[in-house]
Amino acid sequence: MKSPLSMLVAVLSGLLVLAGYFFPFPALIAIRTPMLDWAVTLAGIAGLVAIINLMVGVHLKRLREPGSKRFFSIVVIISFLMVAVFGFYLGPADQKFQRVVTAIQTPIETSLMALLAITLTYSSLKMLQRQRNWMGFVFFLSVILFLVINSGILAFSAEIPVLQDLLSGFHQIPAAGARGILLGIALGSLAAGVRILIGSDKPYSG
Amino acid sequence: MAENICPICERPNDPSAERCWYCQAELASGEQPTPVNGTDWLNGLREESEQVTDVETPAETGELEKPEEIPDWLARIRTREQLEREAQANTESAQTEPVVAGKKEELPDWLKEIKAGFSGKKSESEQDDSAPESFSPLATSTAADQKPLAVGQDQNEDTDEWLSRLAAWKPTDAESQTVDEGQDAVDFDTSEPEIPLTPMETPPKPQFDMDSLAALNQAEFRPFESKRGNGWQKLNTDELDADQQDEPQPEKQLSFDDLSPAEEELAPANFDINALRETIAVQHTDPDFFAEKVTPDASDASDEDDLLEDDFQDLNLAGVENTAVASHEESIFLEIKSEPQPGDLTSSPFVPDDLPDWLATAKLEKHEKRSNEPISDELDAGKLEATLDKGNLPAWLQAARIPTPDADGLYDSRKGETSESGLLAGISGTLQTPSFGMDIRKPVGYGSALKVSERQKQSANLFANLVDETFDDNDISLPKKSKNRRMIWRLGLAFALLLAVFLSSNILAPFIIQPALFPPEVVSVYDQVDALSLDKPVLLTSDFEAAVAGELSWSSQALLEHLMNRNMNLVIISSNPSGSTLMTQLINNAAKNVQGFDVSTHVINLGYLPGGATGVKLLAENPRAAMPYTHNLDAAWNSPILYTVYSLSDFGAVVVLSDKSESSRAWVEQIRPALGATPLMFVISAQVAPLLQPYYQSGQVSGYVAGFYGSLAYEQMLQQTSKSLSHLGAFQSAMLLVVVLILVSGVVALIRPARTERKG
Repeated sequence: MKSPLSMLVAVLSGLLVLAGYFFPFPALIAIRTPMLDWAVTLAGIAGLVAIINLMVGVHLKRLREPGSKRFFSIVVIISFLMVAVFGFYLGPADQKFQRVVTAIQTPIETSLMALLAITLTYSSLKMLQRQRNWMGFVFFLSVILFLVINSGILAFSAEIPVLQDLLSGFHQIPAAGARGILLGIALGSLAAGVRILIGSDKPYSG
Repeated sequence: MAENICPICERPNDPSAERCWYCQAELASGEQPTPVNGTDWLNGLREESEQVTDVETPAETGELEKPEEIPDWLARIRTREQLEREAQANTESAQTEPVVAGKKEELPDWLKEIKAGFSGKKSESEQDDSAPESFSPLATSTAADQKPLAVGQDQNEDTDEWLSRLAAWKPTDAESQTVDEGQDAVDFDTSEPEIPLTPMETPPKPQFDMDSLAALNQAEFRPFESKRGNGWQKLNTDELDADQQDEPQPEKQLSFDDLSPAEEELAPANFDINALRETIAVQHTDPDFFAEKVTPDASDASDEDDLLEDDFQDLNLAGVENTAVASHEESIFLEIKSEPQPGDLTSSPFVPDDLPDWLATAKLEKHEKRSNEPISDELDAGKLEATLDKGNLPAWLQAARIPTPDADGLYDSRKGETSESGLLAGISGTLQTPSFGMDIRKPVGYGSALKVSERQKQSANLFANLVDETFDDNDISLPKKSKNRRMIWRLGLAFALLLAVFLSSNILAPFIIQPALFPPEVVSVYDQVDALSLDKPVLLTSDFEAAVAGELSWSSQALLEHLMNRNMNLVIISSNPSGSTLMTQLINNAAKNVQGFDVSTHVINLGYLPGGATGVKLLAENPRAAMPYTHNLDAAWNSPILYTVYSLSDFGAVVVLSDKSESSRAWVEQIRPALGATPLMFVISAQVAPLLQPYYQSGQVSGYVAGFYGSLAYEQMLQQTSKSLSHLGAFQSAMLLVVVLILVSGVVALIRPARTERKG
């Protein structure tokens, strides 16, 4: 046991938060709330550290290295400095400031999403060429079926009881898969939490 | 002694009998019987080991001299010396052999020698001849046995001593019985040496001591080899019994098929003294075999020499060269070659002694099988190529093999490749060794505070290398033709989609199919919003990126307008840094469509909530502690909208706008217990809907509006026309185009053979 103190702190913190969840006593809440506040503050600080590392540790470092990537690093650094300066000066609630930011950020990210849609469509065209097996064929049929259902062209099925029931059944298939995924996530989270509480897993030890 | 002892089987017979009652051997009338066990020189060997007593009769023992206490080594030296002397004398008197009377005159001279040597008894004419007749050690030994009777003491004093020791030996009852049986079997008339012999099932246990065994090992008795050399087979007890019953057996041509099993079944380590005795007995008592097998007019002298050499080979005495074996075996092969039979090894160039066991036993069968197989004289390259499976190599092998020169010219491009490291460094055309797990980065200092093990260092380096390779520009080099083809396909696809979107508003508008049914989760949201109390604010949380702002703006537009129409107070929180700004824009856009809704008085922005799920948990526990200030860094909870709110249950409703299933799940898990009766609703991207469906079905989520169709349904429930309906045509046309393209490409891919099959 290399760091018993850190493990003790971690286990006790976890137990207090867990006990406060099951037993919402004022004393436990009084202890648990500051701890969560500290965690949120640390998370915010971690974001700030990440931003500084991105600027200094990555892009400023690339400025010292020859290559074509230097230009993009310069653009990133300048953009960051401009947003930071105007943000501190105008404030984040300024309408003009928000409009400028969103006018740049939203089109760029939306364009990336549009390219992703084109790429996925193109990949779907070559799907059966690469996966010529029964799983590929099932996936191919699933894609076709749910694209048709979600396009809304089967709206006339409301007048056909059998088809409506069939489509309702198809709608339940994704929910069933998602339920299985959620159960798996829950079990995994529970196991990870128990491991931390008993000191078997120490993610805080580095 | 009144009985007449048979010189062959040494069994007592009637004194008047001319032939042995047991073995039908000719008895010498009036001749002094040879002492029991005196003629069998092997018995002398046993005498040394067993020291058997009380077997011989007192009369017999009284006739024999007491053996001197001579050490074994001296006895062997004397024996060898005697052999050499007699061999020398035999060569000198080869031309002056006596004429044998009676039946023995019909036999060849060399066989007479053998017979006389084995029996230990010479005819009278032979006894008169002082010169030894045989070069065989057997003959020598027998001559030595007879020296006290016929030759006298003038021949060799050492021989007398040796013979005395041999005479003093008496076997046990079992041994004597075995010896008798073996000797009974060797009859001139009834022995059938051509029959393939099998080893005895229960070989008698050798009963000689280590000294005798050492003497035998020095001589290296090899009974089966000796039989092979003479073309004889081993006789087992059953066959020997059959010999005693005078049953004539058809003569069988000797082959190596018959020899090999016996060689297998009796390993050299399992030395059988009885088998050796039988072998020697048969060898010296069946003249018919030799008369049939060996052509008498070929060269008696040479055959005799062969047999003499075989005798030496059988005993493998020191001083006798082994080269004689080969010559004799060649003679045997010549005999067999004269009468070839199928399955024989007569054509084999190998000497049988040199053949290993597995070859001696398995070669013939395999040879027969192969001979039955059709053998094509010429290999047809075309047929051979047609039989080969084309191009069905595994992927790794196909990637690793050296391409053929006509494979798209890749061979020329790879010719110059040389391995720069490893064992194949500098050799052109070799494959490059992958450098997985190699640390190609600069050494990283982890500091003294951080304790990093070597394994952790290796893992970190491996991960760093993988990340570096990801950002490297070492893209897979594709042929220019393939690149252009891909580019054309993508441009064509993008053009088709754009064309469908632009044409949908005009040309495809009449073909738009509006949803006839409202999703229940959307209806639930509508009902919940419609039932909200006006004195409680609604918490709007933003948890989406700018990339999906377009989709979520459509999805949330109707809901936001519904809330504004009801003049609800709105509180904005964002769990990602850009969310609050995006959410503000959405509210401002929605407020434009709602008359009388003042954003500045009805909306308060609490800004960004860091910490992810932890921040959400803190918000659920204590909203005032989690978000103490507004977007403008004002005190949030002093505003008229929030001063009545102390927990999340004090909100009228919580509406989460999200584009990620993970964050949606975190919101449900963290704040649902703190909400109480407050409804939790979602406006989500279409990709999140399947994961949120179970929460809705379980009642943890009051309802959600997902994607384009959710927004359209909500608009229809609000009975207002918005942009969603105008975009429905573009949405459906683009979706159907994608479906058609995927379907066509899939059908083509199924019909068209695979790439590997096309390339062959």
